[in-house]
Amino acid sequence: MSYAVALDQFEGPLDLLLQLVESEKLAITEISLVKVTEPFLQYVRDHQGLIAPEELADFLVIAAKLLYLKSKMMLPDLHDPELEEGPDLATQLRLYKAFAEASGKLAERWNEAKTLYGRQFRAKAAAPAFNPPSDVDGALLREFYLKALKRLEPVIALPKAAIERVMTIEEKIEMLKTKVRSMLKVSFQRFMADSHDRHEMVVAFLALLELIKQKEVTYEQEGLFAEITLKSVSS
Amino acid sequence: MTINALLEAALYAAGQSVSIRKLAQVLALDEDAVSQGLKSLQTELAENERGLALMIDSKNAELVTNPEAAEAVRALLDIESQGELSKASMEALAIIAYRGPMTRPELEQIRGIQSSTILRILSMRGLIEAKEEMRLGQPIYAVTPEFFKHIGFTSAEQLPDYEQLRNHVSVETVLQELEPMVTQPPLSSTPESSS
Repeated sequence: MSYAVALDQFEGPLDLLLQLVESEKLAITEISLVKVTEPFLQYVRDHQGLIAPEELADFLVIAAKLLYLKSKMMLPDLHDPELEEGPDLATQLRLYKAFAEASGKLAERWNEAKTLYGRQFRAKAAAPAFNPPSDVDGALLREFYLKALKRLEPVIALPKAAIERVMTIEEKIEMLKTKVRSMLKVSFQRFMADSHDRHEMVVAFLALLELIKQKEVTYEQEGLFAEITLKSVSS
Repeated sequence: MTINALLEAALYAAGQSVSIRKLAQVLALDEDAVSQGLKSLQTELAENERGLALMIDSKNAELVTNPEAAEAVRALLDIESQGELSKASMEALAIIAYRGPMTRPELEQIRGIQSSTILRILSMRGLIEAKEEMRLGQPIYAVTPEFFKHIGFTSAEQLPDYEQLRNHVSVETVLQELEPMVTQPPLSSTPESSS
């Protein structure tokens, strides 16, 4: 499974980000995050097919946050309440680092196997015998069975949700291409206005930057505070 | 006989994990006295470098062998050591051990990546378990006593830098972000700004 190879290298987007920042010997600040934006995007681009679909969305969310930070440094007045939401990336990464280091110490401890042993042999020695619990009835069994079923629900629902999330990214890129071609000129704000929630906004922003990267569209901005106008290259 | 000695005798005879409530019942003591007695017995065993140690979690206690004796005990009982854990498993375990009990979204907020698969793997290996309680409609997960036994810790407080990491300044900031998101009205209901 090729995707496992990628995961051996990076456990997730924060792990990748941390390794990039540390390989540059940088402290975790917004400025250093901006510096590693390009290598991060490069990695995600190169491994798009190798990252599991349900994880790709998480990489893209971090990518969008990085791009937003970068854009903000170039356009200090850029402020998007949707993208501002959520923990700020530097804080999140510092926290992740603390736990990543702790997990390293635990791994050492795990491998030392200084196990505490209980007297488990005692439990094994007991001979099987019919020993019914006194308080079990049909209603109780039903209740526990329903509880168990309820816990299963999120597990079953999850892969579907993940696929839907990824589909939105692809659809969004398609939608953007169509829109840019048909209207020739579309303002960035008008495009963003079509997003219904924070996730869609992130996806839209990312999709847009991807299209600029792929040279499907170009953008124009007349002045610092002016609206960003998008243009299709191919038409 | 001291409470410590009584507890030691009861736990030895039980040969398995016993709830603090049960100990209080059989020794005709209140639960606080039992908890204190257990703490004191734990310290006593550790300070005297005895062959036994006392494992305590929030509700239960169990008499176990000293971590330094692990190799000899393993050889005697012919137990195989557990294999290595993947980096992702260890990372999730560390977060749940320090900060748990916690929900899947909380774990994902710290790891930055969806973690349902890893939670399933850890549950199946008996390293974590879903608790009875739920939070915001989500089951909460905690590491099992077996995990602590394997790493040779008699309580969560023995984890390196436990206090510092559990109450890390960023933890609150990052986890707080989850709560309003759940109660917020859908964003699509706000009027679109036309500029």
